[in-house]
Amino acid sequence: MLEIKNLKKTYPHFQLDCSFTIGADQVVGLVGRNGSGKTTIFRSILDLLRPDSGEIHLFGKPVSQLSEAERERIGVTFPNSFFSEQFTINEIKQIMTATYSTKFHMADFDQRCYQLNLPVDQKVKNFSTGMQAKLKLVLALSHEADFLLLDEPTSGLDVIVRKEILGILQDYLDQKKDRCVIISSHISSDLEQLCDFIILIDDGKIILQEETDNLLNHYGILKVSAEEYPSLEQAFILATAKRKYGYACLTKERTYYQDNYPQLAIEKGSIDEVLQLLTKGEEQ
Amino acid sequence: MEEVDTLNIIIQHSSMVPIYEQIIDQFRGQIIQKKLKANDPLPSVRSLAKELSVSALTVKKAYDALEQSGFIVTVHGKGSFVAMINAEIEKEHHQKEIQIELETLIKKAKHYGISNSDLLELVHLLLEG
Amino acid sequence: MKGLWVKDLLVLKKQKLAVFLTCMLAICSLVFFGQNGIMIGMAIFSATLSFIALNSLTFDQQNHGLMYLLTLPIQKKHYVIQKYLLLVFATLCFVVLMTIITGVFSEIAHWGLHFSYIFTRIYGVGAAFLIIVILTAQYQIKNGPEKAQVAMSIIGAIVAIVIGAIVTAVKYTEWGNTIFNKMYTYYIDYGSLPFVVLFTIVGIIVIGTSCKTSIRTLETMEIQ
Repeated sequence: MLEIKNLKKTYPHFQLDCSFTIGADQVVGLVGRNGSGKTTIFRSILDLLRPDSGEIHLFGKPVSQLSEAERERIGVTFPNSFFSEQFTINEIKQIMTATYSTKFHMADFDQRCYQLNLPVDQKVKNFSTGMQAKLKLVLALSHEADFLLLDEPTSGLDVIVRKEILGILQDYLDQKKDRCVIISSHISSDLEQLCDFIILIDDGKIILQEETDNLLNHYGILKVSAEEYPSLEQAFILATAKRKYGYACLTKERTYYQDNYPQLAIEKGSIDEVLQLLTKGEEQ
Repeated sequence: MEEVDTLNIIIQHSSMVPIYEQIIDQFRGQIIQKKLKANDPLPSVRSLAKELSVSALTVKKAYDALEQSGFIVTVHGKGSFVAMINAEIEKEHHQKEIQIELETLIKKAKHYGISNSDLLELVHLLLEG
Repeated sequence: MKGLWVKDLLVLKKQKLAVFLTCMLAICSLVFFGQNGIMIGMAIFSATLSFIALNSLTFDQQNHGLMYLLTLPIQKKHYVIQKYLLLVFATLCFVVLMTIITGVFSEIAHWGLHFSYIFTRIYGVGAAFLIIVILTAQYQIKNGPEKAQVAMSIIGAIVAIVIGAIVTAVKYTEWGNTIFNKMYTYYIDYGSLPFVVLFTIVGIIVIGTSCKTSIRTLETMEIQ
């Protein structure tokens, strides 16, 4: 559904250069530090900025050539951009109806707002962060969008609200096949529970693209002392970083090391650990 | 069509065992023990994924594997259902269980230094008795 | 585009108090300044209009709002066109409104003013302010609402200076005087229609060019 080929954009402080594809019925998580390029990628997909070179195709067409009908199939949330907060939900509903006409499902939307205790006649600026996040998501899901782009939809929220929001999203995906989502977040546990694929990005380049399943179940971090290190089989080591205790090694074949080095300390793969290792994060 | 509300699929995120394997084992166990009967509907991939807090792809892999080994059938557009489990598959599963326990036993015997012939003699004795 | 209109009308509705007060002010200016009050009242009207209409743009731009808006199924081209149409229609409404108010007032106060007299003056002031607003909008689309407020003051000041220069030239220079007399004679002979037509043509050219430039700006700039 989404195809990004050799997307390049140069800024004074960093350079973006990446390619990836997202198929229908896939949920992809984009992880990376602030300034690693996530927002730039998102804005390129949404035609909010023109890349220096490369192609982005959504629904089979270059994003700059999507018709209005095709753009109705896109649902977006940003953490810091929305309708003016002077509007109430009732007013936003009017705008949505006029923008999406029959595709905007008013009854479902009303019911959702009711279930989530979102007051329909108060200005959005009076909502808590959690309520605003819920509103943004519910709105993105209110017009039969097939492609969802969610930029930090759960940032700043406590764990209960995050679960709620992810639940809403999962229910939406359950309703119809062939929808797809790209979601960025700093909260790796959210992505590990939700996403089918994880893309790690650092300094404008993609450093890992992997099934979440593989990441959690086959990747491992070997904690190797300086003495053990020389005798360690290097064939399956993807990356190594120095640590206080010796070395941390990333492998995609956790079971190999579990079987052959039973005394070795091995951690399950997780987004945070893998990201830290691959970006040569400093030992705390 | 009712969902199986009392589905007791429990997985451990912290375990070293891959999650989709855990899911497969849990379903197989429930089906063998007749807790899930033939034609019972399985939860949709996404709803189970939500419940277990894992990605849909993981659940899909498990369902695919279960279908491969004949435990479930997937009807396009309707979902997945428990298949008719014939005696063959049950027997296979039971045999696998025994095999695993035997493997553990054999390892233990080796560890204590008991020879293969001594072990076989012990087994014959017990089988006759 | 319909969604954009609904949105901006909701924004305007939020400011109906300002509109109402301005109407009152305009009527007061007719009371206190008599016939000169026509142009003063229209100037007040227009100034308020500028803030109100441009507010619809500021509303959109605040808190990075334009980023979200442009992910909705609207073309950037249409966003600009709708904004410009809003500004033009709003001005026309106010011109009509002020003309009616003045016309009624003129009857009541027995000023005996001709319709074309009232209308030309109001239209002239309205057109002048519309051009200021359009140019400010063009600047604001590119540079954001904070800088635009400064820009508007500067543009307003420039227009005031230009008008002041023209008045000075007319009053104190030979050639200024001559041109003015020529125009005045023209006005006596042919009525105010040519002037209205002239304003309209200039207005259309300015608005059209500005609109095209703004569309190009929006389509090439990075929206954040």
